[in-house]
Amino acid sequence: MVEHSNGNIVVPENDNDLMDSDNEVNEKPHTVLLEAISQLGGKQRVKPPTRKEPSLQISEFHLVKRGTGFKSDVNVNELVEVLGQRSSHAKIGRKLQSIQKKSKTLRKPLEKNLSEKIQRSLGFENVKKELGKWDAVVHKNRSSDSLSFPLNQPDSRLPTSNALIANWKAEEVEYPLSLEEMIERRKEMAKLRAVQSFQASKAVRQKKIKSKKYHRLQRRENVRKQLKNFEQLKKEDPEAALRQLEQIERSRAEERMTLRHRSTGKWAHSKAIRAKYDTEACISRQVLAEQLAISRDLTQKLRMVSTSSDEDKDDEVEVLDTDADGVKKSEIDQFVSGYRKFWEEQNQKKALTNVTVSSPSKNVSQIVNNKSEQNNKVEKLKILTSVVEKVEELTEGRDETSQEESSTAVTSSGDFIVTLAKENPTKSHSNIIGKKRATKRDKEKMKKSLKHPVIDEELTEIAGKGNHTNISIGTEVDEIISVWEPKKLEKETSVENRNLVIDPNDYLKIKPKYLRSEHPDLSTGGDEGIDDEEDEEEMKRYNIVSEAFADDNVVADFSQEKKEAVIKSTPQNIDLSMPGWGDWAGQNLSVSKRKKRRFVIKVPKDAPRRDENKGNVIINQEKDVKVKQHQVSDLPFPFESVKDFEASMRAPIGNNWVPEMAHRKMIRPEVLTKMGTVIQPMDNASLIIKKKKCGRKSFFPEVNPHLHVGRVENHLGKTTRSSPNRDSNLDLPVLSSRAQHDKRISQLRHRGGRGFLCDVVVSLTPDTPWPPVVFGAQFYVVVLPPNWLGIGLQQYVKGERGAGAVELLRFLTSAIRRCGEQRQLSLLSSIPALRSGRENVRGAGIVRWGNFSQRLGVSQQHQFTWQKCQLLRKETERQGRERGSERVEFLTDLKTTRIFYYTMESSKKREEMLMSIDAETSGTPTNLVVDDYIRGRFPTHHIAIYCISALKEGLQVRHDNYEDGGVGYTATLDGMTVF
Amino acid sequence: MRRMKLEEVYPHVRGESGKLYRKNHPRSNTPDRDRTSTSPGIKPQSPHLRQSTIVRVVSWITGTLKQRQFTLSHVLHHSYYMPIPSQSCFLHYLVYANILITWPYHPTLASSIISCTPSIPVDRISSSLGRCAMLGSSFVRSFPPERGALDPILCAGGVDNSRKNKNEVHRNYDPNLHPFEAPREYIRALNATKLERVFAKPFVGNLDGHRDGVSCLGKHPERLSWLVSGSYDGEVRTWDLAQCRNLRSFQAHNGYVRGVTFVPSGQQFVTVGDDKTIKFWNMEGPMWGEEEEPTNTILSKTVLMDISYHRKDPLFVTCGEQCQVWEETRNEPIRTFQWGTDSIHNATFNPVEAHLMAACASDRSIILYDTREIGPVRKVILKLRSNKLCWNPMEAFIFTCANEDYNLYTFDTRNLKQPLTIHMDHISAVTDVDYSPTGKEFVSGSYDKTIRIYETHKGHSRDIYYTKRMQRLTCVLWSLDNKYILSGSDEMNIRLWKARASEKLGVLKPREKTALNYSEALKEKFASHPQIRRIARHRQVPKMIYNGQKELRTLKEKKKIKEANRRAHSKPGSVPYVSERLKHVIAEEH
Repeated sequence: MVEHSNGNIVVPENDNDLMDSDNEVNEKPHTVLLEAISQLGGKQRVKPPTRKEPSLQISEFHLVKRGTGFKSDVNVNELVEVLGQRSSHAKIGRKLQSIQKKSKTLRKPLEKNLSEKIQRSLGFENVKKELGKWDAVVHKNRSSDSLSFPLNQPDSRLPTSNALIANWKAEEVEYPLSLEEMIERRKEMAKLRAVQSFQASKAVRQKKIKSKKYHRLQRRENVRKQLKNFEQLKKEDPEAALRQLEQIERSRAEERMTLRHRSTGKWAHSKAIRAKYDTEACISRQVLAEQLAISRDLTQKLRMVSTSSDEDKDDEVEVLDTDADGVKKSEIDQFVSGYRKFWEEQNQKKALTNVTVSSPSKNVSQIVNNKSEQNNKVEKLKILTSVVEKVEELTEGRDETSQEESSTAVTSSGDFIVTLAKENPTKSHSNIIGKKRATKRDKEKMKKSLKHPVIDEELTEIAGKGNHTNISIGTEVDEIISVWEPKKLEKETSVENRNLVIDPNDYLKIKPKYLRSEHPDLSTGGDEGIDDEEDEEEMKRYNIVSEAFADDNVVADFSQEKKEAVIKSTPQNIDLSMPGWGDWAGQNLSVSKRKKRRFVIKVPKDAPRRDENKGNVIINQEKDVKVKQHQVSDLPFPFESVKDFEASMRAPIGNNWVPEMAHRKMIRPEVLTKMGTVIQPMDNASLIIKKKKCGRKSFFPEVNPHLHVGRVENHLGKTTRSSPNRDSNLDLPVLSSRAQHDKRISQLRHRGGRGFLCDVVVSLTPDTPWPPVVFGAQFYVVVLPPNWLGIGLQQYVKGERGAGAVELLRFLTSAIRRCGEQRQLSLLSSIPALRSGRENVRGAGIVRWGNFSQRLGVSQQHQFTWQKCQLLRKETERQGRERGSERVEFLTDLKTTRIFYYTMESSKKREEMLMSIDAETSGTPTNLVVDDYIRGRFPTHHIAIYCISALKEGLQVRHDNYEDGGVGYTATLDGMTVF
Repeated sequence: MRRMKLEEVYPHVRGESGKLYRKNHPRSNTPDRDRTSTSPGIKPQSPHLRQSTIVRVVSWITGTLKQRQFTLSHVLHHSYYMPIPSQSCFLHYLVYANILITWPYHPTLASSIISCTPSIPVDRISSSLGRCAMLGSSFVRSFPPERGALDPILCAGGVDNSRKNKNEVHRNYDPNLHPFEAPREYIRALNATKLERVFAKPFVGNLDGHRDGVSCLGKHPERLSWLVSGSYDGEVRTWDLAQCRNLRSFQAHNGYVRGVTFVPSGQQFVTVGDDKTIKFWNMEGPMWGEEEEPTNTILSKTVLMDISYHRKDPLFVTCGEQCQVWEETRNEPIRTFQWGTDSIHNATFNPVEAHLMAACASDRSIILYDTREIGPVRKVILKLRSNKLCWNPMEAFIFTCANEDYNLYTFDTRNLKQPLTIHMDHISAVTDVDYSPTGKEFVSGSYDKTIRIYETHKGHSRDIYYTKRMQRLTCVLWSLDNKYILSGSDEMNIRLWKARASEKLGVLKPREKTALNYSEALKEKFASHPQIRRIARHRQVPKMIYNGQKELRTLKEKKKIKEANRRAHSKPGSVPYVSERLKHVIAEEH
């Protein structure tokens, strides 16, 4: 092979050449001959280029096929001959010969343009592929509402946890409180001070007030408050209540000693006198009564309320409540009748015991006192007194009523009063009385005495009803009434009834429309007799109406009106002709055709009116002519329905109608630029760079602490001697060595997960010194109840501890302890199986933290075999069942790894899917889908998703607010959106 | 964690505090029973009290389309701080926040809501898991909560935080109180549109000095105020745009200056001329007394028509008879590409995917090059030749070419069979095109003496610039701050225009800015309304343009009618419909 100066290679083609060169030929004639031959062929010899400038370009026209006859040509054979006939050289000769025999001509290369074509198309494919990587970024930019240029790409990588910790440490050393906390505290202090000063000034002001009335009211208020407090105290702290009771006892004694509030004092005397002559007697009398009431209150002995009365009260409340809530009356009636029976029985019993008490000549109040002492019920007593007062008044007003009757009334009064408080119908009684007497004083007293607010609330409502059903409820009350008012009252009530009650038959009867249907007529019940009457009435009514509107011809008027409207709306022809011009003028002269044609401008025939054939309707067509030109005729582009478009128009964006912040957001321009700033073309930095995918084995760092020499921490922070012969270790495939492990860790570090889900999510990159991943787990989902905030995750992140899963667990346990909280915290870790075979599933397990102390034993095991997992699972399930709270799921599905969480809400079993992580067959979780579903479920919880190695590079989780107000998280992986 | 202001989280809170609502304060009309059943609202009880009551705040009704930022995270954010003090208090909170209550169903709470809100049907407070009860805005209106009840939850110090700023205007955003909001906004939009037309004065300044038509312009990659221009007489001038001042002028070439470009560092610029030389010039002028000399001159063997610099590497490409890739330090091209024999008059490097290059050849084709290995990779032939090509600086695979057939074509590099968009409106050959640095718009200069601005995805121009004395456009540039447009034309002047005709230049005060933004948003919102559209689109154009457009329109109509006739009178299917996009590309070669 010979290489020529122009770089072409000439391969000797056949043996003839060799043979020729072997023979010795005369040179000169030979060359002449050759030239002659070449000329004969008509081929033009191309001369080699003379210029010898180095050039990269090789022209095809410069290719010269060298003739065989050149002197300068050297053949290989000649060279071999030179070597001579030595045996050592013969070898070479033979070799050459064999080569020459074997050698074939190379295949003709592809034509240049063809090969280039192929190359070009390949090149284009490459270009396409390369350009494709910009798709995601471009798409994002195109679809974003507002872009701010220059597109600065802040370092989206999260700082490494080491760096974070270092920062926090520094902070913590310097300030015990964070800035926010300080501000908070300061605010609190300020508020406290403000309140203090306000109270002080208020106290001073109050002290200065001279009005006795004010102080009296104040005192009364205080007493009331104290009573209330006492009630509460009784429930919460009986001992303190006892102490207070003693004090009250003392005050009672004092009162009894001084008799301050009795009617014996000077002031009381004067009041009494004044009451006689005062026009507004009731006031002074009232004041006196109040005084007496105070004294009564003070001198009363306080006893514990008996249980039976408690029950009664409860019942009362119940009944009232249902009533207030508007439950059906029939139910109440039922209930009331049942209750009445019960009380009748009770009364009979009591009547026996109370016989001795009933002495007719005694003062009513005294009786009441006696009764109250017997019953020992303060509350009841109050009600009692009030009602008794009323009874008193009644008796005063009625001369006819005999003493005996009143006494009977009084005897039953105790029970009756209870019923009064209990049952609404009694109010009808009081109401009637009120009507009869109708004095203001009565009502006031009523209100004062009847402490329960519901009663006076319901008063009016029941009145009507009570009247209606009045007699049906035959309680003692009615009896009493009947005794007091023999027949007269009944008559009266009946008269009232007529006035009050609306007779359903008196309603204006609307004739029902009779539809032609197959159903039997149930409404009339085949009663034809009524129909005739109705018809008559209707006829009468009709006649009246027709009489009233006799003169109006409505229909004709309307049609006239419509005609006018039509004429008014149609444009008239314009007559421009001048009378008398070019024609005779005068009356009754017909206008010539020519004139009509020339001077009358005809209005073009318009479209028919919209109300033309619509009967009695006038449609005003000219109403919105002016508006029309402002209205949109076609649906604009992005909208698909008119409704949507209209809604978008209706939603205002101005700050007159929308809060300022929203307004600002909505008017944010599409493109924001900074003045005087150069916007550089897009840079590679904005690209999410997809690194080479690791093999599935190398993706997860295989960590087997027992492979390390020396002491190893378990996840509870204790250091134990690592024992290679533990059963858990036996069936573990030894995949990693120390070196390998280190390498992977560093890989992970470089990857820099960019996961960011919600507020509390922390992505922990495993660059802690010790195995960052316990059991090779990738995710830790921790759901903390809301009141954990103080010691919550922020603090954890802040904490001095390294950010590994081990640390996390440790932190949580300590947090539980610190909390002193018996609440259960669930923590869960999942382990996507690393190997395909089920038997080899390694380290799959859930550490579940229930009641801390109970669970401790379980959680200490941190290396599980599959069998162990099963066992553990069964165990935990059993325990869970016992406690009736949770279920345990095991997460060993290879394709889809789901993480469940368990909330331990009191006795409620709840299990929610928190997150589903689709793992590829390789066990590499690629898509992380977290939606508002999760957030929606646990809005008050902290949700922390700890992604240790699952967040691949390029996985970005975006927080989106949708237009409809929803929220979602979108995970993007290398620009591809994964929803 | 920062505590948010009340308004930030609950925007309508402020509005609700107005006097109007004091009238129907819940105290005055709720039955006593409710009052007695709840503890005093101000003091939150221990959070442990209500542990079993999990009432969750789920969502937030924003109501409007773009209002996205409050929402879940804020509410949730807050809910961390939110113990459930007492039911009534929490209820108020819910009511305030216009929020959903969910699962688990809490009978007491639900019933209390029902009892105090007649407007909500019971079924909306659903008991099923995960279902939400929606409290509409009407509800919020009818039951404003007392402030005291809210304080422990939201206000940091219990002080009325929402009224911190005394100057704030307190408004009631109840839509029922604003029946005319849409019409009022429409009027505002109309006014804004009119004002925009009133203020549309795009012409900023004029750089004169060239003694022949301006042939090319070059923008500095880093400095906004520097510009280099070359003209047909071989003169190159540098300009200070801020002061509209000529900095230097020198004779660079014999004959046309065909192209000028900056070295990525910005220290030098390079010119190519008809004298087959590539000359490097320092941006800084010569010292006093020194002569203007290029720092480097390369003699080319072939004609040079254009030059483009690689954005990152010290490479540049020239074109003419063939495409040549040069390295800065060498006098020989390192690579030469030739595909076909036609001359290439424009070559442009892709600014993003920097090794890609596209060139316009005189055989009506656009050729795509991969300068690293293969060289030319794809060629697309249009009906007429393209004069200039420009890559989108933000979208690596998009380029637009200015064509002789009055149109511009935007292509996706990966699919050259048909253009993505055809940008019409010019009435003569388009000579130059340049993208805005945001990649959203581009400017084109044409032989019809006008400049047009197009949005990348739209077929018709958004604006047209012209002056009486401006002749055929030779080159246009969009400044790198997205604010200005530069144009060089035949009649020796370089003109400076605003990219947005009615934009106010200079620093804007915040309120001014907000007002302008608002009017922009309004214009956008009501853009489809006929009157607004009409005013926004209206341009007074020279008679020549007006008539030209009319003529083109009639031509197009005519063609359409003709085609329709042919279709009607021939065998069905024999005259197929061809989409407009497919009409302009003749072939794609590889």
